[in-house]
Amino acid sequence: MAAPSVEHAFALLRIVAGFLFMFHGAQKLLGAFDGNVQAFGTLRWFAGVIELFGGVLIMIGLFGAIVAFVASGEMAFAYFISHQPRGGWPIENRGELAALFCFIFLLIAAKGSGWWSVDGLRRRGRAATKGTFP
Amino acid sequence: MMPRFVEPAYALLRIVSGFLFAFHGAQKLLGAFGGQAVPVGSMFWVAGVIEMVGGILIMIGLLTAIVAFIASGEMAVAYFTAHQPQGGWPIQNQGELAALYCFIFLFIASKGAGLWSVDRLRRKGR
Repeated sequence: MAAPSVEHAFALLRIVAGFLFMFHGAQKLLGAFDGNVQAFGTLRWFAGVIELFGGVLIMIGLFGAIVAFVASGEMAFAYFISHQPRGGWPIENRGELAALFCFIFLLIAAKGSGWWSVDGLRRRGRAATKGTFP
Repeated sequence: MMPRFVEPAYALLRIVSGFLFAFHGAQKLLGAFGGQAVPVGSMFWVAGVIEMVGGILIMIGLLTAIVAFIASGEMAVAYFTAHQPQGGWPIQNQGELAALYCFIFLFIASKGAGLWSVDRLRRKGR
């Protein structure tokens, strides 16, 4: 359990989660990937903005912590207004993905972008960011 | 960024992902939660064992790193055998969950159980 591999695995998780999250926004805003364009200014449209732009920012690791915090909150909201009312467990109400994104982004919000991120590059001038996991 | 909350947030992610993963095993092994029980000894059955037993072990944090490594590999296989052949991006071939689980468990495999785990309790004894 050496520290470097942990940081690499965390960065991979951040990049993959942001990348996959972005597709949900592209579905809602652009109608791409078999999605439907949501009306401008609706709740789902705002969700799409968070997902598309938030996903890109999380993936590249720019303002990772604050963006992930917003995305995490959005996913909690999505779970409770759109999935939980269908009843049953997450695997039955199709809220499993929302729940996973919620907790991944909560971790990113607490830890920040970590390695392989724009935040990391920006900070390099000021202080070393190595090994933030204990 | 709030360093104090990194370890608790990590433990929450580990517990939630293990918990949700176990449901997939329960679907395959027990036919519970709207699932279909699969024949004993088939590849889906083996997948169900990894998901149900592995999910519970990851959730409680027992032998976490090795179990998460196996679960991560299983999810990679699942993505490439069950989802990727359907074509398109993960959001279209329904392989998004498998991909997320794969990378969550890879991270857990490299980091270990952390807070609120049986592994942590066992280590405290020594």
